[in-house]
Amino acid sequence: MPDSGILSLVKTAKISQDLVQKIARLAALNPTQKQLQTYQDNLDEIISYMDEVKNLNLESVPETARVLEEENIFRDDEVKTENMFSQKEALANASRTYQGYFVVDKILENKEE
Amino acid sequence: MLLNKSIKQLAELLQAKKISSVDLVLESLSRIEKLNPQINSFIKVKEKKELLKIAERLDQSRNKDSSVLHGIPFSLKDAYITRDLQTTAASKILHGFTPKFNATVYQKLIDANSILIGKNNMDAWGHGASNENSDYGAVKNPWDLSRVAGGSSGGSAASIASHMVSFAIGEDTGGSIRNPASFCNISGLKVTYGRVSRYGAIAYASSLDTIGPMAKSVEDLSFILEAIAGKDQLDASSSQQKVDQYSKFLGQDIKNKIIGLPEEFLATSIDPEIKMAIEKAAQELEKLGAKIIPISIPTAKKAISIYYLIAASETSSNLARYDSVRYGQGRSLFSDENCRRIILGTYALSAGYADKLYKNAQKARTLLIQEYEAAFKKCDVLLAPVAPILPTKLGELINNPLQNMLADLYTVTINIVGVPSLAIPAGFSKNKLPIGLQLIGKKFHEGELLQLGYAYQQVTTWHQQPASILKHAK
Amino acid sequence: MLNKSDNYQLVCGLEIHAELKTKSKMFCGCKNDPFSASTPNIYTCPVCLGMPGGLPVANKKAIEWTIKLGLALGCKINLFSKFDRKHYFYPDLPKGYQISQYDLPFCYEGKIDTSFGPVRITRIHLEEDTGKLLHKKIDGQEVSLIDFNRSSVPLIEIVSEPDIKSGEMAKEYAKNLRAIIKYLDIADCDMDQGGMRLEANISLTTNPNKLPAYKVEVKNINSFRFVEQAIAFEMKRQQEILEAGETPAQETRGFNPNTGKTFSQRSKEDAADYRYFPDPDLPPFRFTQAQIEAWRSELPELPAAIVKRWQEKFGIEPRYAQVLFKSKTKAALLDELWTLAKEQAPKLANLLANKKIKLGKTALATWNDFQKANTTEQIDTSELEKVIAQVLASNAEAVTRYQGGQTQLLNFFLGQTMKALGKKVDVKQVLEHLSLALS
Repeated sequence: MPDSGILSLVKTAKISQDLVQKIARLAALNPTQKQLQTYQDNLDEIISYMDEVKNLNLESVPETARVLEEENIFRDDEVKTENMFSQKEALANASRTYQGYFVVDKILENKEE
Repeated sequence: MLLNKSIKQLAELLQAKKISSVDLVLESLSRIEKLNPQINSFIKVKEKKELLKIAERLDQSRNKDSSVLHGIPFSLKDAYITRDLQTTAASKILHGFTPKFNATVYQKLIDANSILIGKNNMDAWGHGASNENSDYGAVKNPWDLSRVAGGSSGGSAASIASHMVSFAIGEDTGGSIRNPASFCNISGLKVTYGRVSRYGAIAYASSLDTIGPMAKSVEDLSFILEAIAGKDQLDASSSQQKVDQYSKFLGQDIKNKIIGLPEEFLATSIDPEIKMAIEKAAQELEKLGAKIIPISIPTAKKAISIYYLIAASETSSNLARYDSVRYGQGRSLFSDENCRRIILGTYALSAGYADKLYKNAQKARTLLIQEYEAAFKKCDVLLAPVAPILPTKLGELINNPLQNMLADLYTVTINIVGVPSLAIPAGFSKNKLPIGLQLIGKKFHEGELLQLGYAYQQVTTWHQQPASILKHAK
Repeated sequence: MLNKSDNYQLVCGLEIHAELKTKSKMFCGCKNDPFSASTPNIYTCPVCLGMPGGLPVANKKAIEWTIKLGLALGCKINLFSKFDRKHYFYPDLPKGYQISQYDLPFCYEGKIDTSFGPVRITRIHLEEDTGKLLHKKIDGQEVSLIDFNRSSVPLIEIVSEPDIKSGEMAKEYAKNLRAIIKYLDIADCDMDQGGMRLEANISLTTNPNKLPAYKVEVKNINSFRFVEQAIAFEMKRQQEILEAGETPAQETRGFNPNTGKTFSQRSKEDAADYRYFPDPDLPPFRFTQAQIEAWRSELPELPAAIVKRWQEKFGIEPRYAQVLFKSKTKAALLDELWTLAKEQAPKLANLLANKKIKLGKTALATWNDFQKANTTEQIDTSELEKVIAQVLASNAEAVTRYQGGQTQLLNFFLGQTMKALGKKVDVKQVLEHLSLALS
């Protein structure tokens, strides 16, 4: 098994169940109490491992968000009918449709944005 | 027996009309019928009638100009969108999902006239290194059914190792082609990021995902790569780099190639049998004229953290579209492993934590890139093990999320940096478990990797050993 | 409506979204025409429907137009720019994130002038629009219907500094912005259909040099009139709270056009956490200064510059010039016309502005019409005097009244004389002779 020496070098960061709950909500997940407990334990261990990155001296290092070096990739402003769905295709996998629309239960809350 | 032969051999037989694609399809389906219940490498197999119709049509249309892949049966990891054929990413959320478009890689293989047999099992959403995290059951290793096939492209690797298909397309984000290739004793290529279009590939981590070929030999891989590489207008992250004639690299000698051995990889805890196999492989390559030198990638020790922060962040974002409105079932069907990664990723991106986690990981990425660039100034390729462990027993990894993560130790830096890596068989353990090595190259130097891999496969026979399950099968 | 009551001054910024009228959508080749679509979900594809495996590719024209708008508004352009993912869950947002711009918008630091003073523009960025939600009751159940024809249409967002000091100023700012956008012909800005949407950030301060500690965001304002109303209502509401010694809650409010009031939307304990990060599917953009200058040179002469030039070159009063054109084609036509009209241009502009004559299809046609209407024929003095004598003779009673002091009847005699003459003659000449004859 890989070097436990690495693990012993890092600080422990406790992640509370409350925080796990909040994050799960942000991610539109609804874990049971049992799952929350499991995630909390797992995440605790994993996140203390992640602390390695926190402890690196990265002050003047720039971020790399992508490894492709090419830039300025565009498309021309053209309609590509060959890639478009018909209405039937668009709706083909929806569990609820109505007269060409997708259907969800009424949204009571206002848009978050 | 036909599907034990190479693609080139099959193409020659097909051209000479000594065999037909119908023969190949029939053998494929019969093999699957017999072995899939034990291995579970397929989630969906196409209808026999339809497959035979396609095979017949392709037998008719074959001519002297036909590509070498014409009428050859293959499978796709179920992460690839296939029109009118169920695509699930091995998750219950997409059970029954029938797309209305094709992934570009699939379309290219249709255009090359290959025959898709079915969709391979995988770790759901790519989350895993053992193919035990599938909602359709684990994939068993054809070399030892009590052990894992590796992941996340475990189904693809096992299908090739058990000669169900001639080749498969897998997907590698942190080792997902190389790890199962190594565990199942086949050859797999993780391409340079952007070499093959990701359009229609269900995304795991967008800046790490690569689409690549898996087959029994390096020679096979070269033909497949020629067919699937290239710029795609539908994928802004695909590269405009010219596509080489990869098969032309095969057979060129490797004298004076400089091969670097990253000391960090062999210094960490690694199964001694694996270490020995790598050292032996280095010796074989030296015999062929290559020079071996030591190399250092200091930040590789942090690679797991960097990888998981980036991958989890990006997957938490890519999985946000599964809200069951336009397709699929509800988010409560994500497995525990899926939820763990989504929560980790959401945490890493969230306000107050993003700077220390996600952003720092992207900064550490820069360091790794610089270190690889420095290494490649001194050598042409790197030689490394694929996994620090032999194929585990079913249940061993999946119940220990941290160990599950650490199994990717040697493979993840390659994805973080975006360079290509070729995984090929390098020997067996005492209990006849496969050991793989990887050859890591500079960006867009797939040809060079294939050249080296091919040379190695001319002087070794590991890749020709049939899996245990085949010894008992007809 | 007071802007200052006691010491309270309005501190207001506007965020305006406009849908660009490119042919195709922002990140895919689907048709961009959501308003005219006959049925829902007919302009979609794997990308804008958020299918697994879909990937975005940026529409070059949309980016070009965004930068051109920025240049037209005096903005600086970020030579390095990118798209970011903005995460939140809502059924009309297919990917669970919106591709937008976070910290490196295409344009920043510009300005729009109003008669109340300039309004600085903080930034202009480009993003994709969402699908559209429709609420309906089907079989007794309340549901929301979703149409993705609008999903991923290019949306430009213009954010102003809180320089707006009154409802009127807000309205003028929004109108001026819309005029420029339409002049550049990059968006139709149809507010009824949601082609242009306004949001206002409103607070009050007693110290104009210090920004208030809170701000209230008002959404769903879809006309210029409503902007004024919403601001007026908010100012009153906030002032009452402030005068009671409290601070208005920092929140998002909706606007009800029927009541003219704003109302609190569900207040969130947690501020939205959008988890922005650079979209890995979209390579960044790196422009050169030369590229920017090339785009700048493609900009048409803007309305403000045209009005000024017409004033300097042709002597046309700005107040007439401003109402005479909204589009480039019209401006070009008028330019031709002034060139033909030369020193008559100011008069022509006056008549056009007051709708005394109509602008024809071509400058030449308009000029000919004008000339015809204004050419006077020469008339023989003796013929003129004869006609005048006849007119006065037939209107003896009016003559008496005129001579008795009702001098306005001169116009009546003028009209009668002109009628009797039956041809266009120099009015001055007629009046001269009439006056003589009547004295």
